[in-house]
Amino acid sequence: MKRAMNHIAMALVFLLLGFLMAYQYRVLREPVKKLTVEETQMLLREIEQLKSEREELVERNRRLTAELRAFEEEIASVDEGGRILKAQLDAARLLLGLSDVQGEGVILTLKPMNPVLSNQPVEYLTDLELLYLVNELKFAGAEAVSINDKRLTAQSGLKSSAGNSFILVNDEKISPQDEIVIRAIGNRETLLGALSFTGALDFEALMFYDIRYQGVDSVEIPKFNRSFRMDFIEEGGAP
Amino acid sequence: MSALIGLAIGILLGLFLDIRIPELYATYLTVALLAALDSVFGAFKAKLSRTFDSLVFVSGFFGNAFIAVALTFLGDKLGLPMYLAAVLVFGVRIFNNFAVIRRLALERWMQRKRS
Repeated sequence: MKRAMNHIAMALVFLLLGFLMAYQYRVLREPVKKLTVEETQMLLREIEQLKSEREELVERNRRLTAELRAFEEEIASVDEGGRILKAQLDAARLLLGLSDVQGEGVILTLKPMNPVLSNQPVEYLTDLELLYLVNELKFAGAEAVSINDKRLTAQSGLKSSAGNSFILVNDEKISPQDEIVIRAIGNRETLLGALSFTGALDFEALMFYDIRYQGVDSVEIPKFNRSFRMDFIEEGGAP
Repeated sequence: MSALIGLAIGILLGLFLDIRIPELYATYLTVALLAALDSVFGAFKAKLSRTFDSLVFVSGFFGNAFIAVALTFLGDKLGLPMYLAAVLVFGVRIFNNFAVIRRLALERWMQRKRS
């Protein structure tokens, strides 16, 4: 009986060993999918095609926007009501981020420390630190904020993704391992005051970044280049 | 004999069964495999020197694999490549065991030749 049990135990142990070895062998032998020259060329052609399509669409968008502006100017020049409406429309566009804006403000540059020069492991920024900085700037009266030229709007969100290998801003990727530039338009002195407040820039991983900021007479922030979502929002009933 | 049958079935299962172990555990699997191989060489040596005990073998097989995987896991958590320690230790042991096996096998062969 004991002998039979021994045999079964040995068989099971060797079965496991055989399985592990064969599995490892199979996994290492599986070819890694490599693109052929033709496939690479086809992909490159597709990229070029899409790039030119994009440029055409951007140009068309620019033309249509100019036409729209011309129509608006025309309507505004007809009567006073039209002029007021146009002024309100322009103000709404500025606030929503639908037009390029400029004005006095600050430019904040965050550069990660060189890990070789640091005496402790370098931590990289996450969405948390960016949210903190944006909140500081907004609280200090920033009227428009952009991160790496991505304008933050009422529908913008920040989220770390893929184990913080990048942070999504307006669904576009920025890397916490590269330089990040935050621009804010607002009262320059107030914004600078908020940033130079003791401990304001020591939050979490910000300590591992070389942070420089300066007040500028004319900060330029490009417009929000995506479309707003309006699938669920509708006007509330009259009170 | 039972060991050979088990090994053959295991190899067939490993080659043809469509089981995927996540990439994340690849290092653990390799270290466990190395520990298991060390136990097998140890068992072979014990068999030749007539000190083999299946209970010692089975417990060593699973125990060594477990300790190796646990050390690797701990190393991962501490940011220390502890799997290198397992590779080194088991590698050296396999070579030592193989040297003893070779010597024992040669002795037996010489004895048989003499008689």
